[in-house]
This record gives sequence, C-alpha cells and structure tokens, in this order.
Amino acid sequence: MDRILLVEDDARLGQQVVDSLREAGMDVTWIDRGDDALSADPGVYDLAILDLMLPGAYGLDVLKHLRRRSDLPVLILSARTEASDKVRSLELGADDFVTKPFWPEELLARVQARLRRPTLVRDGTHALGGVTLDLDGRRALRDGHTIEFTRVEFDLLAYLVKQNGAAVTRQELVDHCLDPERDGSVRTLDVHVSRLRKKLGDEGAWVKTVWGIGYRIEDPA
Amino acid sequence: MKLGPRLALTVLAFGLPLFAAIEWYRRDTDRRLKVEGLVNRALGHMDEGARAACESAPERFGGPLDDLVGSLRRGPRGRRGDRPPPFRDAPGGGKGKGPPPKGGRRGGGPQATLWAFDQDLQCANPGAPALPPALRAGLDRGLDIVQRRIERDGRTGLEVAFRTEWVDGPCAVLWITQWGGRVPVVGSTAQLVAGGALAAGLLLAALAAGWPIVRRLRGLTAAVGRSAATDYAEPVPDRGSDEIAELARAFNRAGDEVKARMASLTERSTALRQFLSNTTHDVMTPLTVLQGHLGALQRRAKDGEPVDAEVIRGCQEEAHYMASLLHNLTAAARLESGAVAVDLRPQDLGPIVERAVARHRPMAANRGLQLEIALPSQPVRARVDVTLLEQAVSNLVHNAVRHNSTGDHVAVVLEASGERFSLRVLDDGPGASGAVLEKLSQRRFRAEEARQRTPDGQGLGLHIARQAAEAHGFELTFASPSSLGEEGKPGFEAVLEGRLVDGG
Repeated sequence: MDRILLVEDDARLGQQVVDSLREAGMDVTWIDRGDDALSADPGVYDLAILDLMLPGAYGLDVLKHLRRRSDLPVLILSARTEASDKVRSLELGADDFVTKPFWPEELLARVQARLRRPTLVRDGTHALGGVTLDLDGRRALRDGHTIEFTRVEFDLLAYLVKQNGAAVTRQELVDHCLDPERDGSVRTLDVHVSRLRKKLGDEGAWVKTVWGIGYRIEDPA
Repeated sequence: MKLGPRLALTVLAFGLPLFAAIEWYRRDTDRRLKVEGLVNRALGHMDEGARAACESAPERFGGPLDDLVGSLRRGPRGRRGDRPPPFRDAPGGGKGKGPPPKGGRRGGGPQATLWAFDQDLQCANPGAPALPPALRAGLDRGLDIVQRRIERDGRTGLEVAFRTEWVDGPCAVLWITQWGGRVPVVGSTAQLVAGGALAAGLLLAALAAGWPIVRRLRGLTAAVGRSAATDYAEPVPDRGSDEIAELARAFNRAGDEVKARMASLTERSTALRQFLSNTTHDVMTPLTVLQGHLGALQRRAKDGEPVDAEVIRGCQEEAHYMASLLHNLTAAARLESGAVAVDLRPQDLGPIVERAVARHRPMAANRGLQLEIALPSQPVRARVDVTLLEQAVSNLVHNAVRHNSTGDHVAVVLEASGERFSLRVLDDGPGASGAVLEKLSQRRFRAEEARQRTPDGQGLGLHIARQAAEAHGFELTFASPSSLGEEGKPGFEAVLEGRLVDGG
C-alpha cells in the first residue's frame, strides 16, 4: 500500500483529499501545520502532497526539509498563480505542481502517475499478460515458447514498453526503431505494428492505437 | 547675470564700504591717540618746569623740545638777570618755515617743537613762528584742541594746538609740533561725506543686484506651491539663463515625471478595478447555473429520486468553467499590463503541457472523450512564462474538450525538431466553420467580445492563448483540416510553434 503524507491546513479540502486517496487504496497521514511537517520524517512515505500556504512555517521551507531528508516525490498544491512560485518550487525540488481548484480525480491521477512503477517488472523482465519480455536478452516468451519477432518488431515493442504506458508518436517510433534506408516511414510503421500485434495474439491488445499520436502499451483489462 | 558673479558683486558692494568704514575708524582712533600723546607730552614738560620757564621768561620760551628738556635738567642758573640758556632760534627767521629741526635725542622722544601763546593767540617770543591759520581758525571758533597733519620734504608730522588751564598767562595755548612716525591721513568731513555717499551707492547697487534674486525666489516658491497643488498641471515660469531659471526648469521636468507616473498608476488602478469588475461579473452566470443544478439535485434527493448523472455533469462543467475563467482573467490582467508582467525563463515544456492536460482529464472522462498526450523523450526547452504558457495550453485543451462529445478524440502532441518546437492540440470533432476560423486568425480580437460565452464558445480562452503566444514570440494557428476526422466532422487543430533555447 502506498503511504502518502498530506500537508494541508484547510480542514474541508484536507478531508476531501484524504477521502479521495483512501478510496483509491492509499494510506494517508494528514498534517495540518507547517511546523509539525518540519518534524515529520519523510523517509517513511512514498509520496508527499504539500500545500504552500501553511500556518507555522513557510511551505517552501517544508519542501526544503522534505527534499533534504529524502528523494520522495513531492507534489505541490497551491492557489497562487505567480510564475515565480511555480519556478521556485520546481527549483527547490518539487516534482509536480497542482493548481487549485482541482478535481479530486485530477489529483489522484497525478499522484498515481508519480507513484507509477514500470509495468510489472519481475527479475528484469516485463510481463504483458501471458507474454514475458526479456529486453536485455531480446527474447519474448509465451508459456516457455519463444515468439519470433523481427528486429524491427522487437525494437518497437521494447521501445513502447520502456515508455511505461506513455503514448509515443509514430514519428518517434520511426526515428528510433525503423531503418530509414529500408522504407522506414510512418506508413510502413503501421504495417510493422499490425504484424507485431498478430504475433502477440491475445496480448496484441496491449499495444493500443492512440488517435492523433501513435501507440502505447496498456493493460487492456 | 549668473548668481555667482552677482553674489560676488554683492559681497564686494557690502564689503567695500564696511572695510572703508573700519579703516576710517582705525585711522581716526590712531590720530586721536597720537594727538593725545602729543598733548600729554607737552603737558608733561610743563609740569616738569616748562611752565615756570614760560611764565618767568615768555620772550625766550619755545623751540625744539630737546633743548627745553635739556635746559630744564640743567636747572635754572643762579641769579636774576642771568640769561637763561638760549634756545636755538627756529631757523629761517621764526616764521615756522624752513627745514624741520634736526638732532636731539636726549629725553623727549621724536623731534618736536613747542611754542606757547596767550589766550589771544599772541606769542611773547619774537622768534616764534606764526600759528598756522588752520589751527588759529579752529581755536577762534572755540575748539579747545586743533590738530593738523603736516608734510614736508617727504616727512610727515603732526601738530596740535590746545588750550591749557593757565588761561591768564603766556602759556594759555600750547602749539606742539612733532615730526616723524606715521601719521595716518584722516579724511576731512567733505571726504567723509563723499565716502559715505559712495558706500551708500554701493549698498544700493548691492540691493539692486540682490533684491531681484530674492523676489524671483519668492515667485518661484509660490509657483512651485501652486503647481504642486494642481498635480503639476501648471508648469512654473522658467525664462532666463541663470541658476534660478535652471531650478525652475528642473522642477518642471520633475513635475512632468510625476505626472507621467501618476497617469500610469491611475491607468493601472483603473485596469485593476476593471478586472475585478469583469471577474465578478463573469463568474456570476456559471455560478448561478451551478446553484441551479445543485438546487435540482437537492429537490430530487428530497423526493427520493435517483441522482441524475447529467445534472451532476452540469455542475462539474460549470465549476470547471469558473476555474478556467478565473485563471484566464488573471492571465488577461497580466497580459494587459504589458511585457513587465511576463516572466520568461528557459523551461522544459513537457511538464507544463502535462499539467495543462491533466487539468482537463476529469472533464474529458466525464464526456466520454479520449484525451491523450505525447511528449518527446528529451526535454524541450524554450523561454517561457510558466504560468502564462500553461494557461494558454490549458485553454487550447479546454477548447477541444468542450467542443467534442462521446467517442471523440483529443490528442496533445509536443515535438521538437531542429531549433523549433511544435505543440499540436487536435481533435476529430465538429471543427470550426470558415467564418470562425477567419475570426480566430484576426490580429486583434477584442477582449470584451472574447469574454462572452458564445454558443460556438471561442470566448476568452483562445484570446488569451493568442495573446500569450504573442507575448512569447510564438505562433499560434488554427485550422479545420478535413483530414483529421470522418465525414461531416473535419476536426480542429491548434498549432503553437516557437524557438527552442539551448542548454540552460
């Protein structure tokens, strides 16, 4: 279970955030004063959510404290819209910035993105459903049997997996995976992906088409 | 004339008469002391026996003091009838003319002669020179002491004639003449008057020179006061070439500066009030709608009816709109206040775009839209104002989300190539008509119209996005290429392009 440290002084907003995060299965510790936050040990948490306007201490000082003691992801909440505040927070080591007002889902999504771990990594391999990928060994296995991919097909799959679920443009895939001398263009890319999907069988659904962009890896479930 | 020379002249004009007066006084005192000295010298000798000698033998009394003193010391010789030791006759036949007596340094000081007269100014000694007319005239007029500076052959001297207490005898008046020593020239009365007139003239000249300065300074002070009281609307008169005129000009320049500042502050204050008024006004309607939705929800809840998802969605849309509005109005205020408020720094655009898109995911999900983002693996660095650019991108995304419906797609793609970056926000929805695109491409898009939440909803968001792009030196274009979507839904594409910055 992910452990979240929330530093927020507003009672209603704080309660909302706590409820939202707990509903998503996270463990939340809620501190409502800056000076109390300064004596918290960031090492026991996986992520911190920090409001900049706090009683008892400056939000930026709490940020510095958290940063000094650990490298846990810190997400700033703020109503202030000055560019300098954002820049300063990011300079001081904040990982993300959520401006009020925000939707609970928005905050949750950002928290989850920061907590995101690479897709099911076990012993240096990636699992896409029933398919196991060994990126270093350049092998793909299903039930112990090797799936034969061409170099381009494997490169495409590996590249998408390494993006950790982020969408990748067709052009980027062409640039990184296709050979420009051998008909490496956006049109041929789609053909390669289509073949890749076929070879993956059911797990082909893990390779999602993203409209206007290209492709990404996503658990179809 | 400049103040410097003027003041110098004034000082001279005051100083000279003062100096002259002091000098005159000094000489006068000096003379008096010398006169007193002479009188005392004469009287001193009288006390020591000269008087006796004079009264006993007035026909032989008189001449160089040295001789008198010498004879007094030797004392009177014996019996009656003995000739007293002779005085040396005044050379030149007793007329008092001829070279001054020489020699004699025994007792008595500087060379001097002494003659005695009775109260009618007659001298019993036939060898005595005549009393000078100037002295005689003074005594006749009733003065008790008369004195005169004398000069002969380059030597100066002082002679004094004065009445003694022995009015009945042959030494009622004594005339002592002393040569040598410096005798200061003291002006006559006429000279004094002339000098006084000159001094007065100089003083007047000084006043004439100084008074205009004082008057002009007073005038300037009054003008400055008036000008300040009318917010510097009225400049002070500044004709002339001296320092006072320069001061006036400097004051006018300062006044112009203050006026300009005040105008700028007033403008900003007005803009601020306008902003506040716009904000409150623009939030009122969505807030009202929201309250309406909540009221509906409450009624249905009271009636035990199930929640209407549409109404909930309506509430969320209004809340989302208000949030966007507030951010946009803040951005508008900053853009309107000019380049000063735009804080450009080298930044990675990736996180900015990501944050802008994240804001709209809940709404997109609400509407059943696919909202996807693609960022390059390397940082994309450009000089941007973080908040302003985030708001601009957010507006582009919001625009796309708002115009599309269930099943539509919105993609946000950030790419870098060479020295430039491009950010595309595309969707496969209904797109925009030619007329709307035309309007969007206009240079000037009035903020007032932009604030209306029109049905085809270009509104404030795109206006802000365009202004923000301009403030960054980026290009923002809109298109509705039919290649994006299906039949009847040409889609919409907003493209923001600009220069990358190295390193940083």
